[in-house]
Amino acid sequence: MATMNDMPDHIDELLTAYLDGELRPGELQLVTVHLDGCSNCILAFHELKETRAALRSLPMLRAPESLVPHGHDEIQLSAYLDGELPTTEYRLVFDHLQECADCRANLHELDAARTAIRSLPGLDPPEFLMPASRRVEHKWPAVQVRVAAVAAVAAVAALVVGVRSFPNTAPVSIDLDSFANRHVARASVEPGFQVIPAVHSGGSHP
Amino acid sequence: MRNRIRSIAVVIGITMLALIGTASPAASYDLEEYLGGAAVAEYSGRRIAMTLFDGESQAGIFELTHASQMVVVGSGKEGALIGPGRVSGDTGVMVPVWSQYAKDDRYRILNAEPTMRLGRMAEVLEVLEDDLVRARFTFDSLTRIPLVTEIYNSDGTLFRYSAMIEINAKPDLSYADMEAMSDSYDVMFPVGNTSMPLDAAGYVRADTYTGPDGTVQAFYTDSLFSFSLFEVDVDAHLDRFENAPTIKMNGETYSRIVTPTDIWMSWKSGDVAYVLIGDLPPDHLVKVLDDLPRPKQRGLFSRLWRSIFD
Repeated sequence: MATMNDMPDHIDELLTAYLDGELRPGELQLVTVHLDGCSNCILAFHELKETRAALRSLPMLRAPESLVPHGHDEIQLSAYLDGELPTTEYRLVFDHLQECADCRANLHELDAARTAIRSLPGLDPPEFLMPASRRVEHKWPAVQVRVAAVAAVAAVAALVVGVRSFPNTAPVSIDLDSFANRHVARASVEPGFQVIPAVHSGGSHP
Repeated sequence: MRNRIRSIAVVIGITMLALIGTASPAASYDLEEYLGGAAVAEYSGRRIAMTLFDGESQAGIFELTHASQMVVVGSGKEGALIGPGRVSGDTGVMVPVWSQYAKDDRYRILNAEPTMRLGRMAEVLEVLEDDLVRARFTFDSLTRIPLVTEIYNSDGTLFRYSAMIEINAKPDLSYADMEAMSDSYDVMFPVGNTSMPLDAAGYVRADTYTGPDGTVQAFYTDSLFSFSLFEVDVDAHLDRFENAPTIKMNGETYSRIVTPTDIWMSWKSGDVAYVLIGDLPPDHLVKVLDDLPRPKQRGLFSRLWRSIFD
């Protein structure tokens, strides 16, 4: 049976471990026996227990910005997006994002970039990196090449014809009589105009 | 003694004037003087006008009254008042300012021969451009009314003919009542910045205007003939040119319209379309077009862009 003499000197550590449920089986018996007969340790135990309860009841305090690890760090945002941050850091970054518009914008940009990259089609590796057997598989027969070439030419021709014949939405209609009038108005002050006055378009145009 | 000296001086002066006058008779035939006289002449009548260009001829007869540097063409609702600096119509056009062209010696008068025309004393003036007879004018001797005008190509063929076929030297000045023909005028304001060339084959860009529609007009003159160059959007619909015949000039293709007194040309150059209206003779026109922006297809990407976004 364990006695007070068997109690180790670092009782406080054992009490803390006892409260945390981290004592090994032998240690647990020692602490239990000791607490059964030691009023001081019982008192200390209760004080420790109450202190912890009091601490838990305190409101959450926001960490100072200077202590927040890399408040504007893009790498941390990347880890945040990937769900790779530890819980405590995740909470800090989350809180920071509520306050910092710049980081929110960075986060959105980062997210958009990732989405865009993910939407890109997959690329085949370069030909020279492919195994010889696979290269043979990708080699098109001559007929297919010709068909593809004809299709490409037809597509380009269709594009050109389409562009050329594409009806413009609203072409401006020019009244050329107004142009003629503008010319005649200016020409009327020239001496040469007197020898052949232009026929006015709105007048007795033959 | 003093009276004798004065008499001798007067005689010497008169003699000198007589000698100067007979020594250079051509000096009295100043085309500007004739044109200035024609500008202020008052008359009415009927005029025939005809233009021959590219195998096509257009002719017309129209009534006119000329007074106070204004011409009234036609009469009644079909009539129009022209000048100075304006044209009346459904919507009139007004040019509020214009610049004076500094004349060069491009044209000179070879001689002035007396003749008769419509029962009136007249003078025939041959106007030379270098050694080429460019024009032949018949002016009324008394009033300077332009009775006949002939314009020639560089090959000597007739390009334009215009003649009064009836004339009244004491006109009814009813033109004054036509001042109010236009309820409103589109005022053409001068603009400074334009890509139009400053000159083209001897024609100087005298003025550049823009109207309410934003179209830019550049007016060119060589003191006798003139043309206006209009710059419009390449997609603009040019009504009269829709089925107009084309003509090859300088290896390029242009659409062209012939009227009794003018030639109209149109072409596209990139994102811009041009319209030229003027009375210049064909050989001048060829050289002018050579100095103006050449016809050019719009680029594929430009067409694609405009077809999508315009």
